[in-house]
Amino acid sequence: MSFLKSAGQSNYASGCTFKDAFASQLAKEWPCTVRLINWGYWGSFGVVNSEVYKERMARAGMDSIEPPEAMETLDTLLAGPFDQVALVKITKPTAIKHMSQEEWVEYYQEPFPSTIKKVEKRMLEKIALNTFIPNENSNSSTKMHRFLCELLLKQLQSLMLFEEGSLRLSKVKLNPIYNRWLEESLTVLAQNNYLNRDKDSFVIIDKNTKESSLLWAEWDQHKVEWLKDDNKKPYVLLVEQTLRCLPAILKGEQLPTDTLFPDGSMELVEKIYKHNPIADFFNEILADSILSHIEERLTQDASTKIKILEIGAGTGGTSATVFRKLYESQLDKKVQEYCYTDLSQAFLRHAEEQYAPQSPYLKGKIFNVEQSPEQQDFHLGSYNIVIATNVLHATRNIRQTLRNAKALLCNNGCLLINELSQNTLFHHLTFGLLEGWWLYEDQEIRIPGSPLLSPKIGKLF
Amino acid sequence: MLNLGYGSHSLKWTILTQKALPIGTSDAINPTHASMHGLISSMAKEYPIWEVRLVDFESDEDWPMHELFALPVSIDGDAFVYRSGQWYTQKLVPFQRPLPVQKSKYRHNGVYVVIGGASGIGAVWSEVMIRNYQAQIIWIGRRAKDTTIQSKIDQLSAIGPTPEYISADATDRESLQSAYEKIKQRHSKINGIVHSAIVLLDHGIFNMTEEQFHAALSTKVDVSVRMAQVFTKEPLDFVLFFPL
Repeated sequence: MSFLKSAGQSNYASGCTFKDAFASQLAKEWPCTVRLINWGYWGSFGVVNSEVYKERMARAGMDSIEPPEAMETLDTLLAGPFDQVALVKITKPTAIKHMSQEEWVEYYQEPFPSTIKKVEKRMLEKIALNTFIPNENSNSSTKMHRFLCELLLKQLQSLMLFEEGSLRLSKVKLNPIYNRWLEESLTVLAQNNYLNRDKDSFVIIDKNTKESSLLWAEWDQHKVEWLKDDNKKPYVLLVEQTLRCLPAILKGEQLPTDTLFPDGSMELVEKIYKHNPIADFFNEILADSILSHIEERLTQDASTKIKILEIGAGTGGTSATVFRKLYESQLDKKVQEYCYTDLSQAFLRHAEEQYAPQSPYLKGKIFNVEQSPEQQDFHLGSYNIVIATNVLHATRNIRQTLRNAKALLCNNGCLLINELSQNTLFHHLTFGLLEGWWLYEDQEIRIPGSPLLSPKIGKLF
Repeated sequence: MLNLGYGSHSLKWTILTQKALPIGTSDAINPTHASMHGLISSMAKEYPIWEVRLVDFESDEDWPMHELFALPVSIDGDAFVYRSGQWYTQKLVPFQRPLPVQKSKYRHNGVYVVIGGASGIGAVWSEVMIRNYQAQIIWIGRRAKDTTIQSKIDQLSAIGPTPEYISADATDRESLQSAYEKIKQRHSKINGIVHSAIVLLDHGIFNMTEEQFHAALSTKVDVSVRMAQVFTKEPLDFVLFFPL
């Protein structure tokens, strides 16, 4: 009734919605178990115990709840983890309008307690040992940021997007897939005082800027220094590539994927995710967390066989560190399976060649985290650890994504996520050109102007 | 309004409540105005000619008014709940498999109070508890103990401890308090409470008297509140709510 709120029962429905809310609040305030069950149709007594009514309910696809099943449900409600359930007996899947047809809830047994406290402790210890301090406001970072802004503006100007130094967003004729990208580009330029913004109009502030060739020459000069810094090098190389190709990309003459992966080579992008101190540091933390989870599970049950799944493993930036650490700690013997997944077969072949020889537990499989794992032939609740590095943000709806990722885990399994927590112009000018960057439909919970996820996504569970 | 004939005029309603509906176990709310949602939703179904938007906001600030009026109108009068920049609606999600019960919350020889328990689902539950757990059941009902209740008591006493019946008005704090004291004179401890009271007086809004409306509503609202007030110090194992 709390769900149906039928015509002719306004009084009763009012009471029920109150009761639902009241019970939910009481559950938070009282120390004892507070549970609420919304009963469906009981045909066995009361005013509804008539043949006419029963027939009407049968036509609607509703069957009568009988005492034994009701009591069984109550017993499980009281002992289980949920505060509220509705018990309805239906003969047609569509009998209840508000019922989800695609999703369901399953409760896995909890044979072992959670390892999360131990994993977290070790993670924090490791973070405290961090030897580099990424300083976003250092001189060279600020200088690079200015260069990126100026080069971006130059490239946009070269496309004749500005008319007498002014541009109206609604008048721009670009492939619509770049609409959100362009708006964010202009917003950043306005924030950095290169443009004046008035609603959807943008006006160039300083019309007497350097020639494009001069700007690039200066960039090349500074680049020599930047390339000496292992942290900066992969970023500089990648962003230079996309900035130079920007006009061609926006005009549709060149695919952004061909720019990021020239001739199908993964080298440029791969170096962002490994063999540079920042990426290595976070990959190490993630790999260590895996080790501490496995160790903890082994103390609970020495015969445990561990199954790990990686979402969007890509070039294996994270996987390689995990494989190495598993080997070094000899915990690899406890790993039954490392399911290396991605959307593209190319990455799976890459893994097959690069990692499979040393890591026999590796199994490559196509997986799209936006879709039901079950329909993609994955066994639900079967993985101890699911990892995802810089991939979950590239999905339409992060709630759905997290639900799908979680469905792969067994109870008290561990979902380890590495994600960028800051939107930078670098990311906008590189990965931001990919369609996947703008897939997101839930911008309220993303970092503004990007699909990136803030740490508060933890609250979504 | 219905008397003035508005029932056949198209009208647009936007009804706002604040923190009345919880969206999750960590969402603290105040249930005071939650009953509006049942009323308005039922009203929307009775008067499909009216456009109804029903919204629960989080706080005084940041009402996204432009988004509010862009929300789709629900013919069922379903509510939208706004929390931290996101809109939520209520949905039922089925269980795929039954839950495993590891440890039942019921005690053998436990003392359980069932408000509205002498009939309906409360009576079904009572019977199971008496049979399986030798539970001491205490019914609180508004009626004076009559022959129907007595015969139910006689019937159940054949399978276990005889259920007790206390005639009291659970919507009234004093009446429920004195019932509680009566129970405590005989039993040192109460292990659980079930709210199973129900008044069904179905009518369309136009034909419903204020008394009828109040009777059904207060069985839920007042009984819930009084129950929480009166039993607050009792070290219960559980509280169960049984709405239909």
